[in-house]
Amino acid sequence: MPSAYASFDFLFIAEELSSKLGRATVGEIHMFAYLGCLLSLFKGQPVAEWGYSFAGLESGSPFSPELQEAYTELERAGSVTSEGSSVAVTGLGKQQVEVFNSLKMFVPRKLYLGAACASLLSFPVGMVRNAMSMGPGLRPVLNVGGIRPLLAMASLEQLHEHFDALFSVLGQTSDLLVPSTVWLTYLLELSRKRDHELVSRASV
Amino acid sequence: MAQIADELYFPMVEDKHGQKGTHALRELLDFLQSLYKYVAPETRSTRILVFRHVDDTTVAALGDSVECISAQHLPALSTDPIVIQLRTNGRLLLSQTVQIDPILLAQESVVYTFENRIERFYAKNEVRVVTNPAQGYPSVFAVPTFDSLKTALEEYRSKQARKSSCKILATCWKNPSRIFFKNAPESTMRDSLTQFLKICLRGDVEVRPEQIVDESHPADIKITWFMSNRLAFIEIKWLGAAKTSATKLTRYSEGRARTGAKQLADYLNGNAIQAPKHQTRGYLIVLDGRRAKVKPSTKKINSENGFKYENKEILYSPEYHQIRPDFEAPIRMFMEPICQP
Repeated sequence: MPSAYASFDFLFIAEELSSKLGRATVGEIHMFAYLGCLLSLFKGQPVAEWGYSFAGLESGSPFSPELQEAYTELERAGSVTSEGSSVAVTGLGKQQVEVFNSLKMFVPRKLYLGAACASLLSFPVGMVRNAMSMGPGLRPVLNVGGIRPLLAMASLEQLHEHFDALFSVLGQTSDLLVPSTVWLTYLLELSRKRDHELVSRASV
Repeated sequence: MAQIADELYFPMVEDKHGQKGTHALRELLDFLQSLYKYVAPETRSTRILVFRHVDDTTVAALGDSVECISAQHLPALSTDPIVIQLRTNGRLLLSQTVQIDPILLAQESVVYTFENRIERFYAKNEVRVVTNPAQGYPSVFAVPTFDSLKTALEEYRSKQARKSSCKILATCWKNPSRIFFKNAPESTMRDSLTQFLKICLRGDVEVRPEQIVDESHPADIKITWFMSNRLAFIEIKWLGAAKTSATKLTRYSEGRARTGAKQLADYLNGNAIQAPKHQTRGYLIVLDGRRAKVKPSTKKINSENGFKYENKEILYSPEYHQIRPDFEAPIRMFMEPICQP
């Protein structure tokens, strides 16, 4: 039985991405769920309260087994349909979102997931992807390869360092998009530097 | 991080207009993406100004404006500057006759301008220039996305390479007439295409510059689709002349493209050993800057010589794209010069 949080998140993000980009892909749903989770950490929520876990793939992308399980179940139940890596929410899925939306337990995560998806207002999706791959936890995966759990002790400490720095610069903000855009821009700068290093190393 | 926050428009808007400001900014950003689906910013030689009043008050100066229900329903636009006020009911007011100072408007509004390919946001007396890492596109809010690598490469050919519109790619030329390349322009070309694909390619994908396939054969760009076993290698070759000194040119003609095809076939063989479970495809990109009758002293070029190779396709032997299932048909991208009569 998949996590109710994972099922809600999958449908919510798929709907948001479809309205912003015309369609959603499975990998992007994992990525925006992870960004939503990080924004909840920024707001001081304990990592355990997110309700499911993430791992970092070799490519520097986040992946949640629970979210993937929810996807399989939602597809089996006819709430989403897939074509290649694209996902579309069906009429049944939209009804489910409406029911979920009426439940109090999902209210806080709508804030985080909504802000995560709203980063597409400022950045093309490719830039969000590049930025995220430079985040603590994902960057080591990208550098050394292999799959490892995200939000483990070392990367969590680094994340909190980033978030402390963000908070000290911005203070309390009325909109989560403010810290989110600053952080993603910071990570994009790291991505640009990494590409430069990769090329320099390969040219030697 | 402090410097980044200081240079970004989001913190500025929140600082100057508070929550009402960020709410207005979200609506403004959402609208800009719609607007640029119907109005190509690169076609505008005059200013585009879009604003959202934080209290949704109509600005008196827009008295003679036209009301529209969405960007899709804008009337035919003249070449005059565009001023658009967004309303909370989703409607917008358009004027092409008023001249408004963005700083004055920004006292109670969040204001966006696009002028001379520079984007700015204003709030109160503050202004921030928008950083646009999508070098080939005039606005970061008008960047298209592509599902398929082939479609993305075709877009790169027509919109970025053809007129060297990508700011990175433009730097590979020795002079503005685009007659000679600079010495060793390949890394600049690779950076341009890498940047484009990183930003424009959608899906579960990673784009990395110059990866080692084996010790002797680095491909220029490697693309990995992480939720499948798909890989792509891109090999870039340039044709034309590079000016290595005042009196010397390095010239590459179509033999160079054929060498690139052989190299790519070898990379693919190397990768088949290292990653046998992956479905790999190779793409040969030929950036074609060939010109006829040029010497190191050439300063200008006419159309006949500048465009002599525009439609001159390259014959490959062997035709790997015909005999190998993992080899895509090579894509030649002719790069136009600026000609003089």
